[in-house]
Formats: sequence, structure tokens, C-alpha cells
Amino acid sequence: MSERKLTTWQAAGLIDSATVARIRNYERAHSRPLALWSLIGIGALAIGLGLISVVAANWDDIPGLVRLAVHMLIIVSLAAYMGFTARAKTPANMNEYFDDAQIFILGALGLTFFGHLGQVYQTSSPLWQPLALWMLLFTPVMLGMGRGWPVALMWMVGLIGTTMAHIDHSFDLALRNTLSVAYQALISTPPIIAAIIATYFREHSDRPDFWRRLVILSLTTIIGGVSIATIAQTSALNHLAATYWGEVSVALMQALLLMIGAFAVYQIRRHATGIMAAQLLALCGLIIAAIALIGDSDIGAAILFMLLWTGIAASALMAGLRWLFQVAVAVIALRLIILSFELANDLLGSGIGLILVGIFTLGIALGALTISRRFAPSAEEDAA
Amino acid sequence: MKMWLRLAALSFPVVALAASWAFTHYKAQQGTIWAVPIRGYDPRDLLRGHYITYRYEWPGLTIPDERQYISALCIKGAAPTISTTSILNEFGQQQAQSKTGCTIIARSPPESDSQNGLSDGKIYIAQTKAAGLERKLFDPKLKAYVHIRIRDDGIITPIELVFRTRPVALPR
Repeated sequence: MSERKLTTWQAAGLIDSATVARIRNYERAHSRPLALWSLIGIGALAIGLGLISVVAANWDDIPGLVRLAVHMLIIVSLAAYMGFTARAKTPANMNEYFDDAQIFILGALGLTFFGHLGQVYQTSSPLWQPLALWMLLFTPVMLGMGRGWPVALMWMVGLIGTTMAHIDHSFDLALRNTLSVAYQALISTPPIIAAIIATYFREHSDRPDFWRRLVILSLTTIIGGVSIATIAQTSALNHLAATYWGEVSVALMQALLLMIGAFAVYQIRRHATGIMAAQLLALCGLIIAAIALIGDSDIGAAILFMLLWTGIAASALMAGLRWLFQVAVAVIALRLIILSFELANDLLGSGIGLILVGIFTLGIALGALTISRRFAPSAEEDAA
Repeated sequence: MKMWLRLAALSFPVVALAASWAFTHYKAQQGTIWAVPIRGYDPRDLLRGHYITYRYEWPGLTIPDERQYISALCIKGAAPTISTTSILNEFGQQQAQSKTGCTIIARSPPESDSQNGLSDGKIYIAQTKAAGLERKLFDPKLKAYVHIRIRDDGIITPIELVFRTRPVALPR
């Protein structure tokens, strides 16, 4: 409590002495021994760090089986604790972050167990295999019991990580075999399937908030991927496609899959954000198809990128999502500025050119600011 | 979620992890142990994190330094001593040698991340022992061997690095 502020306010006549007394009484009754708590916290932290460093320093001297057994024991105890406490849980006494933290730690312990096994038994396997097995084992816990961002994010990162590791591995093998068109198109489906599943359970589960977050994460992944594709001017991995037509057929298959995803999402959730999600998926499909057709044009790629984000801004406007609209406007403005630097390559050498680009940049920034303030949906609608 | 589903979701990964451990442990006990002479893979880059990378010097086989993908080797001898080896499969091409007479066949797993198949390997070592092992690898008086376990399906697992004194060349 700030005693000095109280005295100042009382002296300035803002509050009377009765109020001051009441505030003092309240603060005394509700004071928490912060200093004591922080000492206890520092002590616990020191012990924890000490334990970790003692274990780490002697890691190689601890027999592998002992280490694995302790690792396993921690996993079993945590799972047992979660099982027992789950019994007593009612919606009222559930704590989103405490529950999520437990699932998160259980997942992390499970993932490191695979690495630990490899270390003790000197086995090695391609990264995607333990990742895929981990996803298989922990998806029921994560999706069945998760409530907040940490678990939703962990699952999405696991999904993308497994996919990327598999792509990476296939690239390595592709030195010996060529990747098929079907593989290249299908490898990008996991986020689309995740979006459909999450939309379904958002309607049919008692944890709609968790599934809403997963929908957002899936869409973010897809839009991010398509945006990168427009910047790199290639759809997904088609550097590996041997021919131009191979490239085009990969892009068209991906576009088709996105359209199917859009249709499925629309069928499941025919209002507000469901419609928006369907629009975005369909838009991504169109853009992916267009990238393959425009060829090597810098301006074409930039236009497609801005079309994508204009579409996102429009959807946000319709769904009443203020933050998304503002993000989309900012992204378009950034791309315009980068484009102006790309196109003004020759101009940048001269002072006049620099001034022109600078003025253009300022103009875009101001314009974006105005648009995102004036035309954005009001903040209250964000609850939708 | 229903209570029994919740409990199932929690016990499933735990049971499966334990099973995976048991399976790995069982697999690690299979096969026979062989000693293969090795040399440092690249003197500038011997240590990669916690691993020592090395090239196998399969007896009776000269492997050129450039990339070469060997996916199957015929090993003759009495464990742990290899008397001679020959290439059965290289770059995915079946070689002329027949499989008859092989004591055991070593195979590079088809999905291996290694670019070179059976011509090189890596072994996990304790960081505290890394410097000492590296010094020994460069010691001209010592010859490095790696003990590998070859399972019946041909999968090899490095177990430990050992060093033997080279036979002293007699001055003529």
C-alpha cells in the first residue's frame, strides 16, 4: 500500500480522513505477506535449480535404466494424480491454467521419454517417427482434457512439427526416389482436417472455448502457409515436382482439399465465425491455385498476397472481429511497403528515389492507420 | 468428458510408453556383438554434440571417401571378430555376391537418416569423456574399434568404443 499517496490525496482534499482510515483497515485485513512469500519462493527455486544441476552434472554416471525408471515414475505419478483429482472435478472448481499446466507437463515428459530411450539404448530413428507416436499417444489427453491456449498450442505445434519432420525426411529420401504428386498435396492436409474436427467439437463439446482456440490455430497455420507460398511463389514443396504440370497438379489438388475443408466447415457451423472460417479456407484454395498459374511474376505474387489478406480483412469485417481486421490491414500495408522497395530497386540509388519511397511508405502507414481505426468493427462485437 | 474416458485417455499414453520401453529393451538384447575397426569421420568435426561420428573400416573392404550408400553388407567371421566383408547392396543396386556363406548380414534401415548407409556411424558418449576419447582416436599407437550389436534382421546398434594397441611394426 502506498502510504505516501494516501497522505497526499488526503492533503489535496480528494479523500477525507474517514476514507483514509477505511482504506488502511481494508489493506491491513487483506495484506499478503509478499516478502515472506518471495523468500519462500526464492528458497524453493534455489532447491529446484540445485536438484536439476546435481542431476545434470552426474547425468552420465547415473545408470540408464535408473534414469529411465525415475522418468517413468514421474510420468506415472503425474498421470495418477491427474486421474484422482479428475474424479473430484466439477465445472465450478476447474482451473483452466492449473489443469492445462498438468497436461502440458505430462506431454513434455512423454516427448522427452522417447529421446531418453534413444540416448540409453543408442537407437536412432527419423524424427517424424517418435513425433508421430507421441501425437498418437497424447492426442486423447490433449484434445480430450485441454482447456486453454497452452495445450491447444502444444497440440498444433506437435501436428505441424510431425508434418514438417516427415517432409524433411522425404526430402532426404527423395535423393533416391522422387516424391509423388499425391504425397505433396496430401502432406498439407493435417491442419485442414484439424480445422474441420475443431469446428465440429466447438458445436458438440462442453469445452467450446478450447475448440475455438484450435480452430483459430488451424486457420492461422493454413493462412500462414499460403502467405509463405505467395512470398516464395511456390505452392508447398513443388520444387520437387519434376515438371511444370506436376507443380500445377499439386497446387490444384491442394486447392481442392481446401475447398472441401471450406464446405465441411460451412456445413457444420453456419453462422458468424463458422462462415468466416469457410470463406478463409475457400480463399486460401483460390490463392494456392492462382500461385501455380501466375508463374514467376513478382508483382503477381505480391498481388495474390494482398488479395489473400484483403479477403481476410473483409471476412473479419463481416464476422465483426476488430483485432483480425486491424492485423490484416497492417499486413497489407507492410507488404505494400516491401513491394515499393522491391520495385524501386533502381530508384533507391538516388536521393530523389529515396525521398519518393519514404513518402510512399509514410503515406501507406498513415492510410493503414486511418482505415484500421475508421472502418474496423467496434470492439464490443469481439465477443461474437 | 466421461470419467472412464478421462481415465482411459490418461492411462493409454503411460501404458504405451512403458510398452515402448519394454520393446526397446527387448530389442536391445537381441543379436550378436561384433568389433569393427573405425577411424574418425572428419578430423575437424569429430564431435557433434554428444555424439562421436566415425567411419567404419570393414575388414576386407575399401570404401572411398566420397559419398557412397551401402545398404547391405555380408559379414564373415566368428563373433566378435570379423574376418572379411563384402558389399551386397550399394545405391539400392543388388551386387553380384551371393548371400550364402555370410555369417550375418548387416543392413542400413531403409528409413535411416544417414546419407551413407553402412559406411559411417555415430555413437552417443558422455560429454565428460569426449575429450579423452577424441585424444585416443588420434593416438597412432591405438586402434579404435566400435562394438556393434547386429540383430538377426541386420539392424546394427553401436554399443561402445574400445581401443586396442596396434601391433608394433618391427624395424627392418
